[in-house]
Amino acid sequence: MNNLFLSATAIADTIANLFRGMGDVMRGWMIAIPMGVAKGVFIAYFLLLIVWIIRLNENEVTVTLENGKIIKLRPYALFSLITIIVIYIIF
Amino acid sequence: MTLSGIDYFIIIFYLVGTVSLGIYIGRKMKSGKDYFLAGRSLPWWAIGMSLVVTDIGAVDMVGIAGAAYLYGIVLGNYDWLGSVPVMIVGAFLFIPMFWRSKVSTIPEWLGARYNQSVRTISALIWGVVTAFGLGVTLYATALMFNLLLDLNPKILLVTESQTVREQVVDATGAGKTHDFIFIKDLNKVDQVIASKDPNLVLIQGDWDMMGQDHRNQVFAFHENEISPEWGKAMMERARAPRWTLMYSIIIMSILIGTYTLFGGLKAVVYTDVVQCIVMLGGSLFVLFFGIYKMGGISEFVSIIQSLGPRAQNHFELILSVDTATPHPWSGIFLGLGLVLANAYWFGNQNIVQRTLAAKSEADAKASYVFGSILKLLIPFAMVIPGIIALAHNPNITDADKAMATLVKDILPTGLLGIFFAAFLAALMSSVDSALNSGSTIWTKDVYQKFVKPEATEAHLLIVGRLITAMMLGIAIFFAQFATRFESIYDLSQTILSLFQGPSLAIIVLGMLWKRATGKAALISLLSGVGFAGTLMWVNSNASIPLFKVSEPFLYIAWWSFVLSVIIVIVVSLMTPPEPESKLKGLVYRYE
Repeated sequence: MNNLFLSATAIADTIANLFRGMGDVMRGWMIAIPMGVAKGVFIAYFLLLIVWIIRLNENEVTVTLENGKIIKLRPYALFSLITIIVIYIIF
Repeated sequence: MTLSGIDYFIIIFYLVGTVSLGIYIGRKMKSGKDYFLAGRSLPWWAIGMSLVVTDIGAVDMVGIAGAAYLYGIVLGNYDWLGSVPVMIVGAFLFIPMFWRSKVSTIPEWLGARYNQSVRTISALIWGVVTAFGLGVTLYATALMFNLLLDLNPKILLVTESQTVREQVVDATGAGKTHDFIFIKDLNKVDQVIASKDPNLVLIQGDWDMMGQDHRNQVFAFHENEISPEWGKAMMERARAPRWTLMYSIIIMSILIGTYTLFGGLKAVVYTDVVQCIVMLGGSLFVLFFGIYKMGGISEFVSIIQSLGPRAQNHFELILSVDTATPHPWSGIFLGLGLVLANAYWFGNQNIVQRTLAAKSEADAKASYVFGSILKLLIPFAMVIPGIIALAHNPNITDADKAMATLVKDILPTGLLGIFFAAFLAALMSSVDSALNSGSTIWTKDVYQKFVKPEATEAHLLIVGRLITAMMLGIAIFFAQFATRFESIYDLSQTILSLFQGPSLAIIVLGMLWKRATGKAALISLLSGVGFAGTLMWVNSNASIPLFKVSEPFLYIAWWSFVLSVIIVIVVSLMTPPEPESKLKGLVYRYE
């Protein structure tokens, strides 16, 4: 049983060592990113989505319900995303 | 938490009302389509509310507040990043495509887009995980249920040593199923026994047990006796507790099973509407009362700031990569924001099924946009109360008790009942959805496909109900074994992270890239899940863990997604393209 345990650990260590070097390098890059830039990454992602929503065709963001009522969804979607940006700026 | 008569009245009124509503809705159920897809009749507002409340289980309600007590507002990322933007993308891209394809399940869509092997493997993975996950959910929720109502059997430990305390908790293995009461003073034993009625009393040192009234449950021990065998023997010799977790699990299962079995998805969604109102209302009550009791927002913030280093990041949404918490920004952004959130909102049958049941494509789209707006509120209702609990009492040793302690201390009679109803709402909405979606997959993707392809809709209704009952039975059975795992939440997240990344990769590429082929999807799904499993195994077996965070499910999801995307692209380019006629209506802007 002990041998089995040792061999499982040895195999796991061998595989882990394959990834560890690459992982440590990437982790080093991520740690070097200033927190202000990290926050910028989040906000840039939301801004990208806002641009995508604005560029969608009108027929993709306007829906007609079964009772004939037309709803423009774009303003609501933008409201959600802009609120999120404000939240990420505050916190 | 001690409930009054008014609290019990509110809770019973809520439970009877919810179950009756579910049964009433189910009375006209005639076909499998009615049962699994509510006859494609659901309006956007009901789906939107159902989406939000389904996403929040009772474990989340208590566990998120507990995590926020420890780590702060960073938990808000799970809704603000993990839901809102993704739901907007889903509303305009993925959900309309699913709805137009008229499928009942995500595996069925994968079968139409790729091939039947991808459908079957995906269905089996989801079917098994849902049944197992239900057991974990029931168990974890029962833990919270017992915690809130103070139902857990208790162990009184009399010792002056902190080390002995920890050794006894480990040796008995009772930390998850029993509450420990620690005292140092032997003279207070009788008083505590009279007031708390412990299931077992353990006293360190030489002590004459003769002449005591509670001989059958009182044991003296020495430090050198403590071992797993000793702990097991002590637990076996203790008298049987009056209430166990299994009672809670069975009661919850009967309540939820009744309306889900009769009413199918329609009952699930409309009871979710009630549950959404109760849950959000109850949680927002805690928020407002909490802030009020603190003396206002600025007072609350200054109390947290005065706690020093332990709370210095409690109002930071983005934490550094080398943070001591499990929530570094890199994992949050890559693992949660780009993979797990997308996999959840576009690829989780539990969630997507209600939009497939929308009465029109317009309702399906609008439901996701509405849901995204509601999701903006969730961190205020679930995360901030955890931080308020810290300001209220910074000395709570078990963070999962933060919410219970807060509501017990600040809410007046009546509102406690509303909070507890909110807790039950969170529980019921998650379990009923998992039951219904699991039953849909097993009936449509396994039974109808392999056992009886010519089954009528009436026959599928009967099979669907039978499978729902069987899944509940399996979940109750599995729930007993969930006690063996240290962290229930981590376990369920880790299992999900094994196939969420690969699953998302084949859905996204299948919908956005018409060159993606069936063979590529199959190879990618299998190798992605295998790779994720290998990462998890290596991480727990290597002498030094592969990942530097304690719960690496965010990173496992990210890397298995990356590998799966690469495999789909490479293998697709090496295999013949799918026929154009097969892809129409299944690939974005390719009608």
